[in-house]
Amino acid sequence: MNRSPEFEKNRRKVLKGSLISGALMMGYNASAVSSAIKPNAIGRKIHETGEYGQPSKYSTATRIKSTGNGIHASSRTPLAESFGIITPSGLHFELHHGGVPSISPTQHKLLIHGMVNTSLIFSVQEIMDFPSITRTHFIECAGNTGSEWKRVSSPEATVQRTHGLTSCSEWTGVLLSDVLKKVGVKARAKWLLAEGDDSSRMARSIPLWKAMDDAMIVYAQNGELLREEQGFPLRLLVPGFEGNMNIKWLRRLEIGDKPWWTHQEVTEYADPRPNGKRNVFSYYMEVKSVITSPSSGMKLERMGYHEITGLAWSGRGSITKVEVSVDNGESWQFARLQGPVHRKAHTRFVYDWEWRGGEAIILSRATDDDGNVQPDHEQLHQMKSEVGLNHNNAIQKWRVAKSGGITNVQ
Amino acid sequence: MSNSQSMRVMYLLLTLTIMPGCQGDNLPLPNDFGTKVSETEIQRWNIDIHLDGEGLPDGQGHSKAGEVLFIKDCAMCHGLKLGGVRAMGAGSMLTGMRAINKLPNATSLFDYIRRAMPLTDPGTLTDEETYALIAYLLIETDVISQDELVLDRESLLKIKMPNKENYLIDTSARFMLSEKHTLLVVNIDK
Repeated sequence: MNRSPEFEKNRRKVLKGSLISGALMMGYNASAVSSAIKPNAIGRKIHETGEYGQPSKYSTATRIKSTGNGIHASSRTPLAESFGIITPSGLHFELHHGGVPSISPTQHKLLIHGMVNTSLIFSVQEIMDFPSITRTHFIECAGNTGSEWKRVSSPEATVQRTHGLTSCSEWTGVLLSDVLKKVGVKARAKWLLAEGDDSSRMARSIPLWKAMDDAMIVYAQNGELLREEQGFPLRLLVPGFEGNMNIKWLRRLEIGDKPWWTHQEVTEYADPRPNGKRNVFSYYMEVKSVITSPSSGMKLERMGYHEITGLAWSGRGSITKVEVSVDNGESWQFARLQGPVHRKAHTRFVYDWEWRGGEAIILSRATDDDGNVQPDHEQLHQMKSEVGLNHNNAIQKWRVAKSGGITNVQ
Repeated sequence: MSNSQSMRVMYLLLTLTIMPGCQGDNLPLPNDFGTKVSETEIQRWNIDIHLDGEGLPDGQGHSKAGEVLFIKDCAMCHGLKLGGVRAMGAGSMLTGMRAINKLPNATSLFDYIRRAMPLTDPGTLTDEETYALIAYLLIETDVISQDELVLDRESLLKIKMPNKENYLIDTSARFMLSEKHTLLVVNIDK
């Protein structure tokens, strides 16, 4: 091909220039060409800090603590930074009413008595010697999202603040029914009182039908013994029921024929209703979902593809579908359920979204295999009441502004 | 014993010791899990109060003594006028979900104060002190209209909490209708 002399001159200049800049980019130094690979310094020696691994210092996922006296206090899971369905044990939410006790597992005992054939005291080791089972279950505080019942608590509230009183773990323990069969429950028994060994001696009435169903006494979480703030050495697990009933630091089970109407059952975990009424013994954490990312407090830095992801769960069974809307509920599309899908456990969903830069209100709606569909706020108020606090499972909306900033809206 | 005879005895002894049954003698079977426990020991643990008053201890307390105790041990968190002290994390006893005159029965009040109060020193109140405190609180929150009250097991059980009819029992608890009636009305005539 014939090229003009001008072209050739320019070509040589351009090539020369790019060679130089290319060489500069490679760190080329005519006097020190030894290796093409710059070596890394030796990293931290594992012997120094290897006994119990910690997250990278660049990881920002931490629990946020409630304000107050610290004795009756809580901490919330960083849902926006969550992946999969398992909440790391150190990030699992917790709420305590009398501080977190440090209990010796060799001294701790579990007493089971009342309307039984034989009252028995068990050591922790004896409970661990029963045939074991391992199940994945969420726990959710009845008051989770209570701040958003009637209106938005604050536009800046993050998903950690609005929804962070729920987490999901793999629990290992024994079926409560196996242990109850040992003591022999009398025919006229209908209720249990479960009591913990924290300083508040937290006590809740548990219906016998639940105790004999899928309730467990657990001693391990996510592959290791329970953390202290999760109830070490023994915890009651009542899958799908309100968090307070999963009595930590379990020390006593009394079997009876009537509920006890304990303090927590009639105050903190009673559901306020109009005209001074209170709804009590409301056990189930109903079908619920929330988009964890992108969510309030985050900012979309670019248009184009973003994966919308979140969690769905139901205290009555498995999640069968999650729908996502990116136009404030005008239209809905199916999200993908990223397995595994367990009964009464967090389920991860993902949804492909193309953000074109305009304002968008994104939300999710879950359905469980018991036929229940997550309500919006209007339906929640109709089904339950205009006033309320506990058991708020309403659809959560996040508003993406044109700037990419995201806030909490209703 | 000849060598071959003693060898046979040795083999016999060996097979006897490794036969099943002999080796299992020292392993705890599931039937042996748990230790039987005496009634006395159970009573050390059994601190709850039942709806029908089972568990309420002997003793009595006067509301005036309760007032002295309240000012000394309770007011710093609950407020002298029972309005709660926000910085201490205690809400009001007069309004809201923890209002005393909105409770369904008085037995859970005794149960709760005995097991969990004061917050920083629970389990240190005597039975008399607990009766006295409750007597004082019931007057201050207008459950009782008298100026003074002496409270003991019998009189506590007779207290009709004014809000108990406002308690709705969620269907998820699977109560029987007959049970619902029993639960809402404490039988004071037995």
